[in-house]
Amino acid sequence: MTVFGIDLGRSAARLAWPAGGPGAATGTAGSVAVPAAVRFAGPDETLVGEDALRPPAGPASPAGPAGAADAAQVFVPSVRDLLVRSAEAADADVRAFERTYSPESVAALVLAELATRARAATAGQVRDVVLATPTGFGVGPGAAQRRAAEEAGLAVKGTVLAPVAVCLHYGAVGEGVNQNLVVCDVGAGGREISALLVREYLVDLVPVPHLAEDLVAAVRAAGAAIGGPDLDDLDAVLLAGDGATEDVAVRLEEALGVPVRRAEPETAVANGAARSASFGFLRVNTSGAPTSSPRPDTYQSPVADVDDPEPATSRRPPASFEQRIGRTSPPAPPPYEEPPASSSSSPPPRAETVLPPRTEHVPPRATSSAPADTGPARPQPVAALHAVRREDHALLTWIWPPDCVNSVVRWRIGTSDDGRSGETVCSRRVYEHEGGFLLRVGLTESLFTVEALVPGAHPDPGPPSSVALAALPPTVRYALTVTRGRRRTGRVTLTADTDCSFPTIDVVLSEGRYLPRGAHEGEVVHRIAGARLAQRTPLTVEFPVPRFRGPAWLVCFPADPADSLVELLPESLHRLKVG
Amino acid sequence: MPLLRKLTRTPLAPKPLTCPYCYERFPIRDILFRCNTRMSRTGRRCVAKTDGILEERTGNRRELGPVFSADGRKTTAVCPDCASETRYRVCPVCHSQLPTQFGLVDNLLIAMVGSKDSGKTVYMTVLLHEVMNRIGARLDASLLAADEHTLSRFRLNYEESLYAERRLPTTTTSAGTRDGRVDPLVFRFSVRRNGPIRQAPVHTLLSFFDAAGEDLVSQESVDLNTRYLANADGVLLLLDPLQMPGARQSAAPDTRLPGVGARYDTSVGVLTRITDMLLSQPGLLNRGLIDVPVAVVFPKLDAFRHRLRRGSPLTVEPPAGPRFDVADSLDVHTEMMGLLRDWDGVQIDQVMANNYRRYRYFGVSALGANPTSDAEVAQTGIQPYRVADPFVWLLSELGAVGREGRG
Repeated sequence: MTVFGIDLGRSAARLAWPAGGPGAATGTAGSVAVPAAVRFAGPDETLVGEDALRPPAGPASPAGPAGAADAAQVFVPSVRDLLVRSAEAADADVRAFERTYSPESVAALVLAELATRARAATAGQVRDVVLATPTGFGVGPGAAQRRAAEEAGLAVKGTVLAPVAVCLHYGAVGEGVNQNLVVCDVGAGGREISALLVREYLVDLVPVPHLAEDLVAAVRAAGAAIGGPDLDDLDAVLLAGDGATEDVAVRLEEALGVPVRRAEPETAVANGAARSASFGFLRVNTSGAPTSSPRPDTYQSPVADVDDPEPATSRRPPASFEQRIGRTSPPAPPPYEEPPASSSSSPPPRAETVLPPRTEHVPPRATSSAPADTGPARPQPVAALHAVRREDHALLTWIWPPDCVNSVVRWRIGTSDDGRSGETVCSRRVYEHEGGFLLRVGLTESLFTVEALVPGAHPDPGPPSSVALAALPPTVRYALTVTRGRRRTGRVTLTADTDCSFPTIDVVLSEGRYLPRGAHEGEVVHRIAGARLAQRTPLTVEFPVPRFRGPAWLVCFPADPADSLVELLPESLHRLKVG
Repeated sequence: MPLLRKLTRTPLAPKPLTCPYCYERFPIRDILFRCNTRMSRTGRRCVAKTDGILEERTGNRRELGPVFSADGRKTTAVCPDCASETRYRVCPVCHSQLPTQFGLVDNLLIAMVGSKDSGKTVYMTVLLHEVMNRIGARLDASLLAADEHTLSRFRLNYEESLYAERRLPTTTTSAGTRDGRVDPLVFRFSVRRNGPIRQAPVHTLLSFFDAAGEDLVSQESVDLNTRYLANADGVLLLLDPLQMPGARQSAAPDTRLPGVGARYDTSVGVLTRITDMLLSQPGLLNRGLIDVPVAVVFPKLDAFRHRLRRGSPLTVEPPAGPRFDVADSLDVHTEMMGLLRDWDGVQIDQVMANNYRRYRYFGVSALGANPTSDAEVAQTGIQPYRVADPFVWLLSELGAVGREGRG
C-alpha cells in the first residue's frame, strides 16, 4: 500500500505520492493541493478550498470563539492556524449557524477534500499517510492534526518534521552524507527557516537566532549557527514552499555564496513526508544539543570545491552492512554453536553505526505509577542489550532503568536495499510478562536499537544501544520417507529457501535407539551428488533401503562436512526414525 | 473376582475422589460440610473453634465452624446444630475446605519431583505464571487459585518473590521436618473446548505438589511422599543436567553449578527411587509398566544453548497454536534423547523405556539466563523458554487440552 505525504501548510494543504506509487499508468510522482481555507456559508453549506476563498455573498466573520458568529458566515482562512490556536485557547471551536465545530473537524474538511482530489488524480486508494509537522508545532497541534487526518478517513502511519522532510526530498540524508544545511520554507503565509546538521542517519536540529525580517539576513543568521560566521561550513540551502521562486534562489546564492537547491519546492515537504515512510532508520534530535560529532575530516569529499555539490553526494564509499553495524563479517559458526550476536551497550563509534530516528516520544497513557513531576520521558541508551536468534525469530533483552516503563525498539531486517524497518514502543509490563521482546526477523541479518524512555533523563544521552544478528547461511531442508513392503524404497525430498548449491550428501542408515551423531554411526545407503537447487523447488531422490530390524534412523549428512556452504537440516527430527 | 470389586470397576461406578490437599482417596458421598458460623433463621449460631484434625493434618490453627456429615453428593447442607445452610465442603480426611466444583469437574493431581537444587520451585512458579499469562492466552485458558490460601501463598511466597523482588526461592522445607505434611497449591484450570454444538469451558482442578529435593535422597524419605506420588495423575520429574557429569563440563562459563556431595544425589538415583516406589503401587501398573504419564523435564537449558546445533528444536521459537503440538514435542523428545546420551549415558533413558508406558522428554529454561551469584534473577529479567510444554503435554495426556497431530 502506497504511503502518501501530507503538508498542511498555512495557506495550502498538499498531498504527494512517490514515483511508482498509485500514479497509476505512468507510475510517476505527483501531488495535489487545496487551499487550507473553510467557509461555513450557510446552515447546510460548507465550502472548502478555492470555493471558500471566493468573496462571500452575505455578511461574514472570521472564525472566533464559540458563539461569536451564529447568524453570519464564518470564514476560516487557515485550518493550520486554527489547530495551533486550539492548543493555546480553550475556546478554539468554531461556531456557525448554531453548530459548533472542533478545530480538528474543520481541518478534517480540508484533508478530506485533499484525499478526494488525490483519489481522482491517481484513480487509486488513498489511505495511509505521513504527516509533516512544522518545527515548534508542539504536541497539542500535532495531535490535533493527527486526529483531523483520522477524521478525514486517513490512516496516519507517522509524522516527520517539515525541515527533515525537505532534506529527504532532496536526498540529503543517508549513508555517507555529512552536511550542514539550512532549510528555507517560504510560503504565502510566512517562512520557516531551520538549521540542520546531517550526519548520515542522524539529524540534529540546531536552534537558530531570532530571525530578521529580511529573508537573506534570516538565512544568513541560521547558516551562521552551523556554518560559522562566514558560512564556511554551510554546505547548502534547501528551498521549499510556494514562495521559493527562482528569483529567491538566485538572490540567496548571490548574497550568501552558498549553493542553493531548488527542485519542485512547492511539493518538497509533502514529497519528503511520503519518502520518509520507506526511508528506514532516521534519528532526529530536536533537543537543541547536538548529538553528532563534528564532521569527520577523513570523509571530506574530494569534490568539496565543486560549485554546486549535491547534498546527497556520498562523501565516502558505501559501507557494507557489517561495517555499518560496527563489526566485521562473523566467522562461520561451529557446528554446535549459534551464530554470535554482536552487542554493544555503550555508544558505538559514530561513523560505523547506523542510527535510527529519534523523535520526542510521548509515552502511552499512564501505564505506571511513575512520578509525573520528573519531567518528560526522554530516550536513553540501555545496558546489556542482547539478541538471541531463535531461527526466524529474535529475542531482545536488556536492563530496564529504574522508573522506566517504556522503551523504543527499532529494527532493520535485511540489507538496506531490500530490508524493512520499523519501530514500536515496548512497555515494561509486556516485556516482563512475555519474557523479552520477540520479533520475527526471518533468516537475514538484522539490526536493532533500543532506547529506554526515562522521565527526567539527560536530554543528550548519546546514541541508542544497538545489537546485530548475523544472517543464517542458506539452508537445504530434507524430508525422508521409507515405503513399506518387500522392497523398501527410501525417498529424500530436498528444498531450499533460496537458490543455492548443495554439496554431495550421504544418506545414512543407523540401526538402534538413538539418532546417529554422524555418518560414522551408520551405513551409507545412498549418495546424492551435489547440484544446484532452485528456491522452493523440491528435488526428490529415490533409492533402495536395505533390510533392517528394530528401530532405525535414516539421516542425511554432507559427504565432506568441511565442503559445505549450506546448512543441511531435517524438516522434522522425529520423522527420521524409520523403524 | 468378588462381585463388589467387579461392580466398582464398571464405568457406572462413581470414581473415588482424591483430596487435592492431602491426596487421600474417598467416595464423593463421604465429603463433609463445615458450618459457616453465621446466624441462622432460627437465631442460633455455631461457635468457631480450632479443628483438631485440620491442625494435625495441615498445621492450620484457625478457628472455624464445626464439621458435620451430610450427603456429600450435594453442594449445600444444613448444619444440624444451628440450622444454617452452608456451602463449605471439606475433605473427610484432612478437613481442608474443598474447592468449589470439587467432585463435579475433573480433578487432576500433578506431583513435581526432582533432585535437590534442580530448580523445582522456580520452575513451578514460572510455569504457573506463564499459564496465567502468555500460555493462557495461547490456549485460551485461565488458571485461578482455587482457594484463598493458594492465592495468597502463590502471590506472596512465589510470584512476588521471583518476579518483583527477583529473588530465587530458598530450599523447600522437607516433608520430614513437617510431620510428613506437604502443602500443595490448588488451581482451577479452565479452557474452552469445542463441543458437539458449541464451545464450552471445561474446568479442571489442578493440585501442584512440590516435593523437597531432600525428600528424594533416600528410599526412606521417598516413602514420606508415597501417598502424594501414588495418587498423582501426572508427574513432572525434573532432572537437572547440571548434576550430570557430562553436562557439567559442557555448561556455559559462569554457570551457577549445583552442589555435589552426600547431601546431593545423581539424577539416576532420584529416578530409581521414584520408580521403585511407583512400581510398588499395583494400581499404577499396566502390562508391567507404570501407567502414570511422566514428563521428564531437563531444566536450565540456557546453560547449554551455545552447544545446540542449528536445526535443533531447542533453538527455535516454540509453536504458538492453541493445542498441544505433537510433532514439535516428538522432535524435542528425540533431541533430548541425543543430549541425554551425551550428558549421562543411556541409563536414564533405559530406565524410562523399561518402566514407564507414557513418558516424554522436555528441555526447558525457566529463567532464560544464569542467575547471579547472590541468588537473584539476572538483571535482564525472566525469559522462560518452553516451560509450559511438559505441563501442556500432561494435560493433553489426561484429556484436559486438545492436541494437534498424533503420537
